[in-house]
Amino acid sequence: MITVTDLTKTFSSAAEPVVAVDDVSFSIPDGTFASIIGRSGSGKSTLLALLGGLDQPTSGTITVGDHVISNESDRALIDYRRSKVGFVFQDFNLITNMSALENTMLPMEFAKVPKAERLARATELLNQVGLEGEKQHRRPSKLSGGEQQRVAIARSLANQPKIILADEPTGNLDSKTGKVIIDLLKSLITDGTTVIVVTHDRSLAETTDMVFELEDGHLIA
Amino acid sequence: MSTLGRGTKNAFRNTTRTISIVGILAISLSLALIMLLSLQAVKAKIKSVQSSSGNTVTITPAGSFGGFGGGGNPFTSAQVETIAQTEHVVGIAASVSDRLTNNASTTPSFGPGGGRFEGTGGTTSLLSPIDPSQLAQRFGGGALPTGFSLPVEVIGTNAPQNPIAVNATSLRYLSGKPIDGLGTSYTADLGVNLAKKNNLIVGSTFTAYSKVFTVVGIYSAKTTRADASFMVPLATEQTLSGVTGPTSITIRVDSVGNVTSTSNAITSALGANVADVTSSASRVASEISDLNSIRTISLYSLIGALIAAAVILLLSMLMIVRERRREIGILKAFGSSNTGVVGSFIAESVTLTGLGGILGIILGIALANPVLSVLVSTQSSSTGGGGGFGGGFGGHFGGGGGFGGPPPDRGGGGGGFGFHPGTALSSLHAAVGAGTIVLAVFGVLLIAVVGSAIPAYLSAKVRPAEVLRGE
Repeated sequence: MITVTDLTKTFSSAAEPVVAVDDVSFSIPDGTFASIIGRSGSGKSTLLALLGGLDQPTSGTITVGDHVISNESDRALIDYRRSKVGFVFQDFNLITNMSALENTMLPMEFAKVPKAERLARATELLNQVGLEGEKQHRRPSKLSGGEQQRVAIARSLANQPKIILADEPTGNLDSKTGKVIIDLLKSLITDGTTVIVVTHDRSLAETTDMVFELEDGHLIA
Repeated sequence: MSTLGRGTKNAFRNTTRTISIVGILAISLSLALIMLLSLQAVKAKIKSVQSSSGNTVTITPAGSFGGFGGGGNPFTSAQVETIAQTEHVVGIAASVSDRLTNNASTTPSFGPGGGRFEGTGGTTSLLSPIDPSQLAQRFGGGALPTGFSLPVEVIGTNAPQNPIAVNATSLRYLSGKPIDGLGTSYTADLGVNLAKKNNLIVGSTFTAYSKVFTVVGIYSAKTTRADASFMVPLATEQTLSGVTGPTSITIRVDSVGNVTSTSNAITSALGANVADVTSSASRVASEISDLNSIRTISLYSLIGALIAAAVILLLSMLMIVRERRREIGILKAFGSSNTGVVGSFIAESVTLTGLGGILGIILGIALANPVLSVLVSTQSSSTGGGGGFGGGFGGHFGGGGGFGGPPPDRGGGGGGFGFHPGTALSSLHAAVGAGTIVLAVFGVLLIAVVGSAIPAYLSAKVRPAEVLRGE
């Protein structure tokens, strides 16, 4: 269960502070495919970053299982991200000088998984997302957008996380490929893994188990 | 792929940039190595020159040419004591020297003016072992008279065991024992060549000043002049020559570096126009000055090259960190620690610097001597070189055409062999030792760490949410 209580995130700026997430509270049960929708600048990505431990809230708490991640130290957040969270980004964010296989192995390296096991699991994951054979050894620049996002999904699953956070995963893909990617994410929900997708595509959001809508940092639905 | 492996691989992500950084680093580091080698060569040469100049100082009465040449009064006991008490003086030998003509020697007819050999006019039965024939030809005097012998130097000394008594750096008794320098006996220690020339051994006798001397020891000082002379007790020589005090005092200073200050202190303590204080150190001052100029150039160039290398690396790594901020954010998002990210950048920096260092060391070794030659030639031309035999033999050979004045290694008297400033410079050679290579490798690593410290710190400060949101 992910529980968010009175969560606020304010950014300092030269003019005046910007409240990106304003007093938001909600809960998401384990194994749920949830979506967060809203227009640009509504605070969706900031909320996702807070849930993923990429940033610290200004106030409020985030509890994942029985683990309160808000106000944790940087080191504790690194451990949290490494062991419990997988990220999928709109523009894939693959390391350009690494092959698809090496990109998929990367989170396992940080988790100190033995090399042989890393290689076997990365190969298996890439096979699962439909990137097989010689393509696994290609660098991102030699793959299509859809293929790159498949690699990103395989990478997010590398350490068998409990939560997958996807920020506009179909934003850079055509609608057909986008649907394939969403179906892929849904198919990968096993053993209680929670998937939270940020999108501004309302039709995509309607296919998920729970929908949260943000407007100017406020949760309106 | 490990952190180090990733860092190393990252060093080759952009071939053009890698070649540029490595190339510029190689040039800077090779220049640094060349300057380091030059610095070491110059330091070694300075040490060598200083060592060769010795740590002895000769003090003679002002205006005297040594021995009995020129003016000046013999030193008094108080003056001798003043010299002995001067700071850094660790040994002192007082002496009176004279040149004795052989009883049977014929007065030479060559040279301007002719005349006697300078000295008190004392005679001896000894023949000098030094062959005078070349001197005759050099001075245009034609053939020497039959039976001619160069004068024999007698040294009255209170310290016969001290090599500085005969102005040498070592003195070894081959047979017999040293005379009692504080006594008044007619005993003598002979230089080995003088003894051989006259077929004398310990216990033999000879005459000087019409007195019979007994040989008590035969020594070798490994210099032509010392091994051709003989020593008698100081008081004996003073009595026979009629000179009341020492006419030459040679002191040993505790270190080469203190020779100049000690010489100045003695000059000051004895008062103006009392004594001529000379040391071979003063003769090499010009040479040391040239070497110091090269040392200064090398030192500043070394520091400049090292700073340039560090700045080049710093700017390159700053550029790389700035360029890879997003990648750093991604790595951190997936669980990389700050240590991992920093380690990766340091590995990249060390790889670039290491490659530059290897090339730089190879270039440095290859170019060290040619560059040093350029430095030397530039320095030589800027100081005008100088050299050759300065002053001729005017001081060595006394007025009136006779022989006299100080020996060339005691200076004074306006000449002797002049100093050639270019000698030490032209013999400079940059040698590459294992220690230098170790130092160079250490320097390369230091530059890698210094050059990557700030970029690595900046990479550690990158917050993943900011770069993933903002770029």
